[in-house]
Amino acid sequence: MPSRYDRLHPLTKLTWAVVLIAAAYISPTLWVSVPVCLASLLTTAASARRVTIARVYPLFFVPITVSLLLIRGVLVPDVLTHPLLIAGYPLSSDALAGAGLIILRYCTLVAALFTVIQTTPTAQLMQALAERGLPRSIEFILLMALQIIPDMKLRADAILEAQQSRGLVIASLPSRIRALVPLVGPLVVGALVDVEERSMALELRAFAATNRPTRMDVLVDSTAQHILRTTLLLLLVGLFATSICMRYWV
Amino acid sequence: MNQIRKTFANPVNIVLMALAIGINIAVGQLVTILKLPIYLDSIGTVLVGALLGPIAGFVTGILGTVIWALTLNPGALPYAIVAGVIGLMAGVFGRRGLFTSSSPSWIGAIVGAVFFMAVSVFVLTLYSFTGDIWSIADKNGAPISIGSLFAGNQILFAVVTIVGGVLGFVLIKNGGYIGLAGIATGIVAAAVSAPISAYTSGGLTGAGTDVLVAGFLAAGQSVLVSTLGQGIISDPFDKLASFMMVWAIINLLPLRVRDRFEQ
Repeated sequence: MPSRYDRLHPLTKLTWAVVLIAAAYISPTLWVSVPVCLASLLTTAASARRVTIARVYPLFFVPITVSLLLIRGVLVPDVLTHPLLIAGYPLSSDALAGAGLIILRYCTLVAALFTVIQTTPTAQLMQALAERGLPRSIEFILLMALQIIPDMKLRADAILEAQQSRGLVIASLPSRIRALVPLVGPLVVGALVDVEERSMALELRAFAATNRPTRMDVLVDSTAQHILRTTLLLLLVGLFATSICMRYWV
Repeated sequence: MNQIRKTFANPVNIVLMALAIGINIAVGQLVTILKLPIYLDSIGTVLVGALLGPIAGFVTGILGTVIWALTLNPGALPYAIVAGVIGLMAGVFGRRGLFTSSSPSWIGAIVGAVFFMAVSVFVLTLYSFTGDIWSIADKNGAPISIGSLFAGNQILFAVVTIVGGVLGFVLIKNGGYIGLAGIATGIVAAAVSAPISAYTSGGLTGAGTDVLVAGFLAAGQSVLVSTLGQGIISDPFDKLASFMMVWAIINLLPLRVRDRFEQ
């Protein structure tokens, strides 16, 4: 059952995500970044798919967090002004705070975008953007690519199995390098041969028609959401203006 | 403007761009299965640039990253412009006919030797970099010239040049021109992605290339310079391989198939 957040207009969710990301990257301190990151995680919590989404987060966050804390905080700290002794080893609290700020920004970026992506069908997102002026050709490319990807992945697997059945060995590094051409070649040539058939199908589905197509789905919008989006956009402009003022006049 | 409108009004181009995005992801999957230390995730973008021109290559690069962000990793979105630049450069080189021209094998050897030599000079310079682009110094802070850098590392440069030359002769073969184009694209891609990486994730990605960034940081470089150094070492190899793969495929295509596309 979709939550209230899930039912929002795609552009409302997207605008909220953009504001969160902008706030995270504009903020120079942890005092702002922590609540902004929390807000992005709370947005995830507000969606009906929160468990599915949260399960993927460690894959996004753990490698970069370990890398940043280890390299920027421990191995190569920028500054060592406030040493923090852990097991007798001096760690830089400033460097750790710097690494923490980057981690929070990155988490906000990924969490805010991933929540929008996971709670909005791509066709609806494209439809919302097309209604605001996204060219139809761009919409076609994105939607077609999304449909083609599973097909291409299956084809890549089939080519790998076919070449292995013909004796292709994947063992040492030189053999793996040699395997590239017999695997990638048929995949690309097969795709180029497909172009004719798929473009004819596209033409038969009135690609060149100048009239706007009638949509199967109607996106639900409201005056309240419109006002919210406008407010968020004004907030975004305000954030950028504050950032510029802080950089040049403070 | 008319050219752009014409490109996007042709369904053949639209389908090829969508398929190219699929190719990027499927080849990325194959490379993961083969456990190769390169990405090759821009082969589709390079193919579109080579066959349809710079604008189509640029758009495919951007949209490919959008799809990558939608399906695999939202953190990839800020790098859309990098993929766009790769497609744009492939288009420019394609328009010059580089994807259909062959070079003598000795050019491949020269490209390999010069590239390996340039990377080693770059790495040594970066370890001695003082912050001023025209001034490098040793560990004690005494200024050194590029000439003395060569004089102090003669054996290293000789070995690197010979290895590069042999690899260029064996691997690049007749693709000397396109190999050079791939290396140039890799260097530009590294220069464009370094500030994005430094700003969005502190120059680190959680991947194996972080070791290189850590090495440059340990040598006293800034995050931006360290990220640029890592990119200039790893990106040209990846783009060289992508460009050469597309060059080989285009030259294998029957003229009947090749003629369907704009350039």
